[in-house]
Amino acid sequence: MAIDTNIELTDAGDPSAFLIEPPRSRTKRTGRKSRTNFEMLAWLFMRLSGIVLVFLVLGHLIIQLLLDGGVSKISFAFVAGRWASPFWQFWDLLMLWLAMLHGANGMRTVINDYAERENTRFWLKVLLVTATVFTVLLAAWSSSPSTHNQLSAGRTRQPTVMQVHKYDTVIVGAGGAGMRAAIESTKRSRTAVLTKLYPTRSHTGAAQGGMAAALANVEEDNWEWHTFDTVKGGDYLVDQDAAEILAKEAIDAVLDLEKMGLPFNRTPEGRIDQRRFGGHTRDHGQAAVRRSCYAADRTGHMILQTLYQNCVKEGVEFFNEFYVLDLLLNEVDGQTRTAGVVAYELATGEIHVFQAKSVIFASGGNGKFFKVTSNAHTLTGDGQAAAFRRGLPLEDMEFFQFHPTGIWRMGILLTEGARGEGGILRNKHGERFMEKYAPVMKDLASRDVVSRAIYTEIREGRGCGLDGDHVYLDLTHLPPEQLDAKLPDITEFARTYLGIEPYTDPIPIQPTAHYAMGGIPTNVQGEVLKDNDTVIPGLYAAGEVACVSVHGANRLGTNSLLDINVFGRRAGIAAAEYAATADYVELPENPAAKVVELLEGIRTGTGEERVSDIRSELQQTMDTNSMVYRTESTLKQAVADIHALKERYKNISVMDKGKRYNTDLLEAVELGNLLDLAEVTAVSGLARKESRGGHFREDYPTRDDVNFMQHTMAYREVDADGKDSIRLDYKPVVVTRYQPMERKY
Amino acid sequence: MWVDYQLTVDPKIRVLDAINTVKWEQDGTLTYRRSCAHGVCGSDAMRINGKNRLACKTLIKDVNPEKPITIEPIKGLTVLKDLVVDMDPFFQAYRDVMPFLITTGNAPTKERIQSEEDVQRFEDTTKCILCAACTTSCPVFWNDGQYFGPAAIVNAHRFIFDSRDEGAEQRLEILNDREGVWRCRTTFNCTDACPRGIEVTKAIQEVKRALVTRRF
Amino acid sequence: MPAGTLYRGREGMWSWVAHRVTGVLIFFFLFAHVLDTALVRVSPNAYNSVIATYKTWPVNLMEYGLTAAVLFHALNGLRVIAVDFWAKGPKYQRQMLWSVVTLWVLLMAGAFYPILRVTLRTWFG
Repeated sequence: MAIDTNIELTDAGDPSAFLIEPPRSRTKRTGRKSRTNFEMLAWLFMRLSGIVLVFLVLGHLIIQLLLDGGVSKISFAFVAGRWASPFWQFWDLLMLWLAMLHGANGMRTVINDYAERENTRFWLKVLLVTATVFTVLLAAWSSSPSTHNQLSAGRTRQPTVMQVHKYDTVIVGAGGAGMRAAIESTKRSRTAVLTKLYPTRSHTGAAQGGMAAALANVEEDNWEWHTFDTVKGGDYLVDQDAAEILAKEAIDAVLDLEKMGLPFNRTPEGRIDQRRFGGHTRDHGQAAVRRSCYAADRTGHMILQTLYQNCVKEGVEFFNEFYVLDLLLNEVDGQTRTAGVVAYELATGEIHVFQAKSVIFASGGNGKFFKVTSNAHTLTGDGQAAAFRRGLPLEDMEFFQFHPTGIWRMGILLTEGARGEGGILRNKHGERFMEKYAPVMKDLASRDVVSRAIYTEIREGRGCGLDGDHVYLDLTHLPPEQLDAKLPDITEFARTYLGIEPYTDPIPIQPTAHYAMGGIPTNVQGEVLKDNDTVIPGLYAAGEVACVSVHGANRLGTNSLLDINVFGRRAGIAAAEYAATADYVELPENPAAKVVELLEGIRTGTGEERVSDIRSELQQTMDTNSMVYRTESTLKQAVADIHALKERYKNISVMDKGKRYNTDLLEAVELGNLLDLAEVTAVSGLARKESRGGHFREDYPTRDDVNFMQHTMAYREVDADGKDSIRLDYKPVVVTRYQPMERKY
Repeated sequence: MWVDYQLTVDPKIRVLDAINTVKWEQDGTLTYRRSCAHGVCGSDAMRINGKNRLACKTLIKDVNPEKPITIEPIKGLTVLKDLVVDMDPFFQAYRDVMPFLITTGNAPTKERIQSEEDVQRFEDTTKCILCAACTTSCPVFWNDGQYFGPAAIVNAHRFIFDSRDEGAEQRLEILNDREGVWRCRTTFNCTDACPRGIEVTKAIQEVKRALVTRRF
Repeated sequence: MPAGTLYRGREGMWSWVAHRVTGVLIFFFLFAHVLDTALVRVSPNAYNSVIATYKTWPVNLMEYGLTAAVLFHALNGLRVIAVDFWAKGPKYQRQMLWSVVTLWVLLMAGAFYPILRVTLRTWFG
């Protein structure tokens, strides 16, 4: 398939010359305000007249049919006699008129449902000419329903010319971080948000537990304790300046959301309620503290909805089902700068080049290279892969969080908030085993500690079920009202997917791959780094795709919903302010060439390998070799398996060769991303000969602050023969307040 | 145009898992939307055996697997490919009800006070994930795509009954329209279809009653 | 746009369909009824001869059908009013529907002989 690669870039005085038509809006509705009360009055009339008619008509029926003998008794004489009395005249006329009006309005409704004809005409005719009504009804009836939903299926496009768009700021990803950034950036610069889904489908909506902030609404708290908890939770790999910012700006982040409309749960005084969560303590680890602000167990859903509502309010421009597949950089005066991105439009199969002064990556995580994961099918690390392939480093990729409580085998997340409300983990003997591993915090220790504890219990033969491959989350001692009020969604998951009743049954759970602590390295302004020190002007990242690093080796629960708001906002403001003073960077030669080659290569491929087979083998090897417990040999096995899978990936083919909605093709592209990122994860893990946070090496079970208190930076190198490999480097951790200590809960 | 697929599966899996198996192993051209796979993102609303459901929240054992399971796109929106429909009119109706908090005056320095009872008043309708199962199960919407539809009304309800919101009048006016709440014929398909268990018809009823009591 | 399969709605949807069908049928009846009664203004003979054509068993059966339609439409209409104005209406809509149907069956059973008396006599003596 030939694509016209001569892109004409006219210097548009009017930027809308490059605008895609925004999604087609509905045709105006009635728009005539004088009629707005009519519908309500008509509705009321039907009900009032209906009540009256029940009496009148049923009375009439009873009298006519039962007492007077029906039609058999009717004659002129009868009618004349009846209507000699004014009472019956009045009664019959009232009944008839009410019935006609009631029926006519009913018919008007029927016509509104099934016809496009202007109803005023009809309404007048009903009143004036009952005879015409019949014809109009017939005409209305015969018009086919299908014409009324005829919305033109596609937008008209120039099929082969590549589309180029110019915006000041482009945001990749419309989850929490992306939309929070968009709300800031759209006020300051011309912004476009590209998402491969629709905004409210983003995985932020699956987050359940809450958002941490030292509001101190329920008990004493302050941001410095929060900073300490974050640093300790991250096993001292956290860049402490970032953690301070996270904790300090948390308070405003929560209050901003409340002002945007988020319906938090409330204290009896009407303030935002807070609950306990894993790893959040007072007095630097003395006891659990109530820091998590929440909305039932659907905090992420509420954040996502509230942010989207505010994007609607601010008129943010979205490009939905646009997959960003490449990042465009260019050298300007010896400095690498951002030129834009290249996106694939799912609906049409067309390639779009977005030239932008600033780009923010907020495209989420990459958990889909694990088998048992809480992540959505769409979390395939597209942002990380795009950056990585352009020579940018990925930081701390070996640190992946395994959330302790995912539904057994399915990986569906059951919030840590369940344990925050008092839920207890039990082994097959019914013991609260966390007392052994974390005497102070018990079930609310940090997630990596709990996940390892669960696996230890399973390995040592105390797991539950026939295969002893899971443990139980016990909520049975909690009052049902509390479960209904605070944990309604997860109790529903247990009922729907496991067929059990959490009021009375413990829930089988196992650790599930949940969160990528690593990602595209940034500084605290959200600016992307191309090495330990150099920023790429105009390129930003925020949210799970980024590594500031605010989570270090392990993220505390409720810190991610916070991270996306704090750093999403910072990146949005920074990107927009940068765009206000910067110039466009010229696009590289043939900007879409790489994407076109990638897509055409897959589409036209005729190999024997199936995408789904390679993907499930990748997921299997990562689960077996690179999950909670790792060793040198398991990680080497993972690397070897991934290399073999990458070879096989060169021989894939897809069944769908079309242009429109080709999700088959995109799943193949996503698999390529997962393979690259899995390799970086395994290689980084192999080189880190220590255990820290979410990365646990059985052959190096202790933390080594002397050699490894630093961030891994992985770079892609391509040698002369075109073979790629991974080069590792290290970046120091920023330490401000806290020296590393032994990490006990 | 119907296509038949045969497969052998564990009955406890989700319908979405079965559809994925078909796509990955038998027919890569089968196209549909999906993401979270556990009923929170709202991508995979479909008609399964004639009823609107989320494919990822419906288990195979619950849809009569001894007989062929019929899967179709949701009704009332233009079908673009296989099970993918044009969601733009649906989202436009949502935008048309001004679904965001409207306040006047200065914002408080801390949070706005709201009692737990206040939150409960509109809590049901905050659960909406915009999956379109309700709107596309509505016989009125099938015949007239201009009707706002249950989902838009639910999301308007969420703000109308939020004690912090001051835009109730505006939203009620928007819905006081031929294509607004008065279209609802209390068919209850929406309440049955909602995968989040929202009492949709009840929410629409409350909006109707709010309109009536404000007028008289 | 292809309609696909029939939507598997529940009582709420089917009661709405029945309400609409009965409403439309009654409206057509009403139209015919207004037209034929208007003959009263033309002449007694005109009226009587038209009415005479109604005094047959098919029309008698249709009378029973009309009663069934009006009764269902009225009873279900009251239910719709309850759903619209009573706060607990939507919650009990199914129970109300079953009450409506039960009442309808009982009343139609009771009205069977009175309405169809003449026809039954004609057929069965």
